[in-house]
Amino acid sequence: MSRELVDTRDTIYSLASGTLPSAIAVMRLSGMRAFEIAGKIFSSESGAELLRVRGMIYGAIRSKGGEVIDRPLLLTFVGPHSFTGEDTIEFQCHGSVAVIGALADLLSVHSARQARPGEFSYRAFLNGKLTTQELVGLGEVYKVREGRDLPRVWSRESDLVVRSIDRLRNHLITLQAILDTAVDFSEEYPAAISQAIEPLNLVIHDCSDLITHYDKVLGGAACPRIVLFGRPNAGKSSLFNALLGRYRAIVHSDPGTTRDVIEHEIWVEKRPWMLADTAGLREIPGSEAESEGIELAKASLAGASVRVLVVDGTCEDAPTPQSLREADLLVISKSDAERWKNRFHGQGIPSSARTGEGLDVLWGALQKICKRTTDEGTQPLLSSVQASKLRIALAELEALRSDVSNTIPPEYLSERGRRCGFLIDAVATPISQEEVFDLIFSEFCIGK
Amino acid sequence: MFHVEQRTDIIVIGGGHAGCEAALAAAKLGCSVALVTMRSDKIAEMSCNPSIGGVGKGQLVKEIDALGGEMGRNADWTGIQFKRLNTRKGSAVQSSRCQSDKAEYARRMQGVMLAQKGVTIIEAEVKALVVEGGRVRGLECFHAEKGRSILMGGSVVLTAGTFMRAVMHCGARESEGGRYGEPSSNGLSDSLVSSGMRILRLKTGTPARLLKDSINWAELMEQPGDNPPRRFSFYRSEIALPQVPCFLGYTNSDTHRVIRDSLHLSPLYSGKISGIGPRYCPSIEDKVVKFPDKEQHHVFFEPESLSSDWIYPNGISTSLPAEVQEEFIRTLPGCRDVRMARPGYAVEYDCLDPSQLDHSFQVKAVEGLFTGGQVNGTSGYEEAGAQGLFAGVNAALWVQGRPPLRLDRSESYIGVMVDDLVTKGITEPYRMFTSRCEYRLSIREDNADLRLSPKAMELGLLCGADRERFLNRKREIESGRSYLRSTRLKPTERVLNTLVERGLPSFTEATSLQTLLKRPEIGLDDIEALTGYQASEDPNVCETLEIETKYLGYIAMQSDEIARLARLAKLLIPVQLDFTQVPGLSREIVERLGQRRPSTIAEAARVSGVTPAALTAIVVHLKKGEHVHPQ
Ligand SMILES: Cc1cc2nc3c(=O)[nH]c(=O)nc-3n(C[C@H](O)[C@H](O)[C@H](O)COP(=O)(O)OP(=O)(O)OC[C@H]3O[C@@H](n4cnc5c(N)ncnc54)[C@H](O)[C@@H]3O)c2cc1C
Ligand SMILES: Nc1nc2c(ncn2[C@@H]2O[C@H](COP(=O)(O)OP(=O)(O)OP(=O)(O)O)[C@@H](O)[C@H]2O)c(=O)[nH]1
Ligand SMILES: [Mg+2]
Repeated sequence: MSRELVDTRDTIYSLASGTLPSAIAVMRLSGMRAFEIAGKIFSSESGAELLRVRGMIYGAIRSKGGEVIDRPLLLTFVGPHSFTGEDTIEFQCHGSVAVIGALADLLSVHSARQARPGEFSYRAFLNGKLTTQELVGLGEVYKVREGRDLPRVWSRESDLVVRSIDRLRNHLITLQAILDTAVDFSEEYPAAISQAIEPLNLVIHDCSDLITHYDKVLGGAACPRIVLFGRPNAGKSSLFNALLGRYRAIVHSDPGTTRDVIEHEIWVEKRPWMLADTAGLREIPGSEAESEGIELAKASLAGASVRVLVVDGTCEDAPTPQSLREADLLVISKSDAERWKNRFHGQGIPSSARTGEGLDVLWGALQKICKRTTDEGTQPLLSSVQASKLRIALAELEALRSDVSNTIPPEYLSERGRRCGFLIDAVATPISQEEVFDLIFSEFCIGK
Repeated sequence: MFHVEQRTDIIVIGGGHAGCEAALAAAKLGCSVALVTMRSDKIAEMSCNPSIGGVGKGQLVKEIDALGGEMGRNADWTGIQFKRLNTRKGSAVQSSRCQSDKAEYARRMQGVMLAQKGVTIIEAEVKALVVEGGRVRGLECFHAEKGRSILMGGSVVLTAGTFMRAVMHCGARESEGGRYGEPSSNGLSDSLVSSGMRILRLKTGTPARLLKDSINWAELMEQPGDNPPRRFSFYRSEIALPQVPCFLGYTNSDTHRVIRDSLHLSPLYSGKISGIGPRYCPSIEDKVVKFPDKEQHHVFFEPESLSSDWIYPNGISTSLPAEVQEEFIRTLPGCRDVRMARPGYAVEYDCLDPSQLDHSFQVKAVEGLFTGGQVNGTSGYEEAGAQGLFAGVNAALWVQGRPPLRLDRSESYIGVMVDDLVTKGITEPYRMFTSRCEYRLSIREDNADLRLSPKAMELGLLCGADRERFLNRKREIESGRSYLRSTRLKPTERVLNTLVERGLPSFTEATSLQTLLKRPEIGLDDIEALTGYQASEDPNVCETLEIETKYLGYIAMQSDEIARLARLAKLLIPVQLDFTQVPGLSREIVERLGQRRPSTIAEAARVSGVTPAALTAIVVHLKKGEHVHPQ
């Protein structure tokens, strides 16, 4: 059973505005814990506490490390007086992909999960906020579409992940079997609740393993990479900054400015990617440091999933045939400049880091390519949705563990266990009661 | 020669636990009812264990009672030991159980049936259904003396239990029969098949019966019942019979050896039995084979009746040959010289695949045909009784042209059972467990009447004095709730002293009685000692108040969810809806919905793979075509 549809206790988030980048992007957070979560990541300018009242408040979103991610305007709505009928917070952020990506991840870390397609309207409907008539209207405006599930593809190498998910699921079934037996078969089979501790520890172990794995992959080398490359001064660093929406890499008219590979997380097609800026490639480097930079650039290019060749539209120098062959995308930069010319018979994407011209076309192209890459299953990642679900499950499991040791009646425990069983549905088939019975009847001698 | 008997509104086939409730309920709704059963002296016979209730089942009995059914009352009048199970667990899953005087149970129920206005009992075997144009018109009966006859009826409720094409196994001996000493019903399942229904084959078993005076009781452990015993019924009944103990003993390695050495003689292991048995109720052969490490299995020695000397040894159901049964039973404590009154046996029988029913238990393929009880693939008296009542009520409502009674998963165990059977079908005989119920913290024994009696009143199943009783109890509970909520207690010296006296933790600020009562260590008796407030003279009222207060947080969470689901459950999906015509649904979802054919949006939400967007798309589509009719 698709538990998410029924289970409206999760707090969910989703981008409510159009494609990024844009001037302003609206991230909507809705659910029982909306204020609590917002309070953890947002601090108001005036130092005022985020109260559960309707209002508007300006302040900063900070990462776990305390770094400011963005200064958004928050609109707060208290259920039932909101679109969904639940407590809702709208973050009006700067519409860069980096900001929204970082915010999304931050929300996940605090156990909110990405909304599934249509879930906001659905909750609004459940809470009686939308009449069916209004739904009809909505359907026409938004063209209610069947959203494809986020890819649940595991790379072939990540067997390990698959196996720990299997294990986790089996331990959860064992756990539930013990809890249910304590309720339904206590007369015939006096199973001690304390027996639940063992599978519970195992589940918690597997669950935190998976999350650690995700966090590692997210911040580490395994993340799929989009690499900008090209000749010195082509405008790579400028484009890099424009895509991120922040000044991250040094831009200078001296050719050979960039030496290190500069990477930053960027969200494309609802998952994190690494965008890399590299040293400009040329045959005769100006210095030893630059030549080392070029080696690094080549190595980064070799491991890239998507290669974007940046060619200076104001310069006569043609890119080497090899770089043209390697490129997944061709960008002809500085399209605002007077001397700009497309020397590729209309191929390539004209764009300007300075005016933003052509960036939307570039985004569209990037999205298409990234999506294709994702579909081919080259991603050794849990999706952020999966990871955030697991985080919720882990929190529940830990609460359950302290309850098990605290002589709470078994029917409470069993209810909580069941909820954990549903929470894993982002990574595995949710546990059905039949499977629990299967285990009880085969492992425990039940029945008079 | 056929002769056509008079036409009745409802014909019930089978006088088992399901049939009795069906006939009584339909008659109370004002229908004329003919109950056709093979032997009228076997009406309400307990085929197997002489007890009613148990974990999950007690809840069903209370719900039957709350809906005006007879099982709870009958169990009270004829019970010889009562016990609350799970009392050390939280109150939500406490369940009632009693040992019944089997003979009295059947006799009293027969009396009730005879006394019920509108019910006529006909002794005959039903051979076939008369179905015309996809609608049941009546049935064809056979009686040894009167011969064949046709009975016409507005609708038919089938409750044939374990009797259809039933075969009994005892070792290599195989005989036709639905219950010891009773013939099987042949022809009926063929008639169902030819009307387009799917039949499954199931199996169940029962242990030998032992003679009381051949047992050395001193070697067994006495198991007394609760004192004072507590009744099942919310309404008028009495515990009228003297209360007696049960006894407990264990099997041992000798028992297991005898069984293991004779396995080849068991029809279960020789492959002669193909029907699927219940895994939660294994035969002793199964227990020994599947759990070789277990050194002992318990055996409860239960009296079958105050007026007979038969003992029911609970825990050793078997189909081994009679000689082997005697041999292994003699290895049990106190049983060295035991004499068997009757050997145990297994029975294989036909039942309907319940996924052919709609949510009112009407067979989808045959209009006017309702089914209930063991024929629907369940096992147990309580499951049978509850379904019988449900099917009987719906048959009556159907005949009267009234909308069917629907019970939701979120309001009753009966609703859970109906929904499970109808939407999932079965893979083994279905038995109720509390863990089948998602809302068991709010669906409890103690509040079955609050949940269901209003429906019973509305339908006309609850009469005069019982209505009054219900309304009184409801009033008391409501005023108790509001008193607890609105009354605050200050930590005065007197209050604090009382707390110390009672060994309870103290508090510092004025606190509502409700908040105090939420604490696990505080009960209503403490509240009374602190404030002098007495919620009611009726202990059941106090019990409900106490339980619901303790579960308040959880229940609030559940009722939220229930309210949301209820909204969805009201949106009906018409049978003729073509999901391929709904814009925006993926092919996979169209396929799944097409297979499951959910009848409400809530059901659709439970089909795996269906997303919120898909549901919204369906609602939008239905609304456009004005297909949505809130019920
Ligand atoms: C050997 C045996 C072992 C069992 N073991 C267990 C167990 O371990 N645990 C458990 O929970 N339950 C057990 N049961 C099941 C329990 O007895 C049933 O669940 C319960 O009695 C079902 O009630 P019912 O009303 O559906 O059918 P039944 O009580 O079987 O009643 C069916 C009635 O229909 C009548 N009938 C059938 N066909 C016709 C016909 N064609 N014409 C006229 N009348 C007809 C019969 O005469 C009978 O009166 C066992 C039953 C048997 C026989
Ligand atoms: N007019 C115009 N100038 C640009 C644009 N993008 C970059 N420039 C200029 O081009 C020069 C080089 O830009 P960078 O972004 O540093 O180029 P790079 O490819 O990173 O160069 P290296 O790091 O040296 O390889 C700078 O002087 C920028 O101001 C653009 O879109 N329009
Ligand atoms: Mg650079």
